[in-house]
Amino acid sequence: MKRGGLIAVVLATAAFAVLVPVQWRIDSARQGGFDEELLYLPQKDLLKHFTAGLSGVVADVLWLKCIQYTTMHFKGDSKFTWLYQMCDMITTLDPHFTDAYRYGGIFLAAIKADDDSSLKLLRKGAAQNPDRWELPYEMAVVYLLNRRDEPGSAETAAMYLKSAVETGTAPRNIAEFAANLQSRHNLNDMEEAMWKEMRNSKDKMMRDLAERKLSDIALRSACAALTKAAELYKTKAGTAPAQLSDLVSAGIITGIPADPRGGSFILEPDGRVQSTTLLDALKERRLNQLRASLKLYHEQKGSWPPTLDDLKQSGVSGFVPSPPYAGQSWKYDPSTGIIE
Amino acid sequence: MRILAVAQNTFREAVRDKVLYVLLFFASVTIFGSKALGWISIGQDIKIVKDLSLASVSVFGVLIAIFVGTSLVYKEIDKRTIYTIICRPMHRYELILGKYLGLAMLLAVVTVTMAAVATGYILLLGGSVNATFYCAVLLIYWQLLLITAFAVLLSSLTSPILGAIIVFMVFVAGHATGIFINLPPQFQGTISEKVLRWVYYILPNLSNFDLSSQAANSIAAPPGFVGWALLYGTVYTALLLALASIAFEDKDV
Repeated sequence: MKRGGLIAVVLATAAFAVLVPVQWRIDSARQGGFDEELLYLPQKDLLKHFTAGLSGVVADVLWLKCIQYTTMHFKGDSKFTWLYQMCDMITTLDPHFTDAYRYGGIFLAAIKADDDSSLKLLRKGAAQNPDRWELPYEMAVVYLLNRRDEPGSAETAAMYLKSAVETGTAPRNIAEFAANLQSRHNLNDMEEAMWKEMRNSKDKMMRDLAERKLSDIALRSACAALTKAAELYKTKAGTAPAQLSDLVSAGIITGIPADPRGGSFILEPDGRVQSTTLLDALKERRLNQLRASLKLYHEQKGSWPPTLDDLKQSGVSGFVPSPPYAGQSWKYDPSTGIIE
Repeated sequence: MRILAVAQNTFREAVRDKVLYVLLFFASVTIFGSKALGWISIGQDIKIVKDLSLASVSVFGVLIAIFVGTSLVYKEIDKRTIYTIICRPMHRYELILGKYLGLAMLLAVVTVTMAAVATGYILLLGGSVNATFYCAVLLIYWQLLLITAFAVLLSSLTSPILGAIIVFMVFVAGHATGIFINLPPQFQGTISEKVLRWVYYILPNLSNFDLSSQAANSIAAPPGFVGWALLYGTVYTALLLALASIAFEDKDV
């Protein structure tokens, strides 16, 4: 190496030997100053005008700061004083930054427990991006989780889920979740209207799903009508009908409706009428749920649980669902983990 | 033909400028380095790459337009090479238009190169690029044409350093014109409101060429937006070039 080069290396080494510790000092002096740094950010409406066309990049940089800020306070004092302001500023700079609304809303609701700010941010996002299903979906989640004790929260959540499904881009499970929530809260009319609209979706899968769900609704309505007819029979005859054909013989109904999906209607011992099509579908869902829990147990413990109740006791599953058909029980083999 | 000959010469001269390659190098580093920011952004890596790619095209394009554009005519006068040109049978406005066209060609090459590099990189990262992204690139190029026209106008009026400062200020102010129209309520009905409204219409509104939010988030551009923005840029650029030609016509060289 030439003499000049050697001098340059020595000088650089000496300089960095001073610069690095000085930087440590500056960093430690600045610790805790992150929040103050946010205080001095210009007003969001002004900032948008002074980014020289780089508002997207400034929004990205602020988003990275927002993640840092959230992580820092999550591990620290759990006070997220500036979280909403940051998300608001990011989304003012880039109004189509959907994930900033979404994750910002999740952070605010789930970590800060500030559902008002979360909903405010998500509503702003939904107004700017009406085609995105994620924003009404997250609003529904806030109503279901943070505001579950509030009267009417489930209905509001169902309404937001309906909006999410109406965008036509929501995944299938969200559409099913919306339908389940509605039926659980006796929102059949709303549910029916939602699926009727979905029948016009551009997506074939969504149209098929809508047809299937409308058929479910028709079967549930038929079950409800037949249950009422059985109650009427009991009132008139003084005894419960032995079979559904008794309702026809007694002239209460003109005939037993046909199930277009090949199932039949059965009279349960408690007097309720059920559709085998719906019960079979429910049984399959419960079986899938149990199989997933068994698999998780096996992964954790290395063996299958001796009984299904062990799933609950070990904390793998919150509850063990029973078969939907009255009088039936699961056939479970603890040596293979197979359940039927 | 004479305009085209000047344009070709200007293009060749600008291509030889080392500053161009330094700027292109930094633009590429910015585009490729943007992935690093994406790692800590909760799944926003492609958005960040798109944002930074468009920002690179805009910022480095403007730097090229400013540094090369503001010295285009001034350099000819300073080095006295202008005499060998204007003694030929050509109008002065042809020189201005030729110089402008040469720089516009250079900017087209730079913009297309950066857009191609960004597209390749985004596809390599598993992202997708839709038509809005290219509309955004086209609008950035149109903005560069306007800025270049401003730089050429100042090049025939003042020194490169002063010209560069003024053009840079116009670039920043051009993106902030919205502030003159979205005034607080206390301005309502005042003379200031009227004056600022005029300022809003006189300054080039560069936010008209900003489609980066839609491009980065893969959203379609508002209907008609691109067409109107292109028309706005064309008319404003034509005005600036006409002013530059008049200024140079009257200039005592």
